[in-house]
Amino acid sequence: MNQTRGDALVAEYLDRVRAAASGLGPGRREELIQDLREHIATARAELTTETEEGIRAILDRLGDPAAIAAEAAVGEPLRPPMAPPATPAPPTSNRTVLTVLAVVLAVIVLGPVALCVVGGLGFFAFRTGEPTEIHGPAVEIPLPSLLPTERRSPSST
Amino acid sequence: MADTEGIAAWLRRGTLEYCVLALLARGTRYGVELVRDLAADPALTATEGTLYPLLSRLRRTGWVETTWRESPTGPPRRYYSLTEEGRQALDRFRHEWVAFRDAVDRVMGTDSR
Repeated sequence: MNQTRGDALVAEYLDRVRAAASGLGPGRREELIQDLREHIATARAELTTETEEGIRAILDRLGDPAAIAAEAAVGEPLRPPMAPPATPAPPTSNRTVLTVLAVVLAVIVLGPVALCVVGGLGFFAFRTGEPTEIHGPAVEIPLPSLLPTERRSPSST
Repeated sequence: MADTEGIAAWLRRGTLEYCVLALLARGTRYGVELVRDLAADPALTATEGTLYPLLSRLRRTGWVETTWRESPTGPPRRYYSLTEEGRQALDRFRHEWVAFRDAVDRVMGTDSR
């Protein structure tokens, strides 16, 4: 009777620790539970006579399950490196998706426009580019030959 | 009170591990024994249970190791002992601690009371 009541108290306590430590990895959490279970079993065996009060005292000295879980989480060297990549990951992938979408949209919508513009410009440049692309003194030579004001250059000089 | 507990918790954070190592340097102890010795001083430990995550860290670091031994009174007990690496870590800490404690005392004015 006393024994089962004690077992129930212990099980209830360990359940509270398990719930408080839900943020830990399952392996680490079970290790913690196992450590506490061992402690309780050893401490119970050391009671001269096992009473409910004795078991409550053992659990009280172990302390608040939340405090134990917090200590396990703070000292957890694997959690902090795991957590940061998990948090920035969604924004990064969202941004990537948005960027890809924007590029695709730009190509679809602006592609033909750009093609027309580029084509038109290219055509225009091709037509008018010949003289302008020639630099320096070379410009002066074809200009008079192309322009109808051919006669002006001999007149101006 | 919460503030005092907060300061104590922060001060313990880097030192309590080494207090465990120092206790184990005097001889092997089983979990309950070790945890009760430490928790006997409220300045060192809030509750016994919070020491188990710390012991788990020390096991993983390889500074302590555990062996099971039969007990005359109950279930087998897990005994903690210091490894060679743990002993070296303790030596390093002792060296750093003296310099750190002296420097803090000088700045705080707590060295000449």
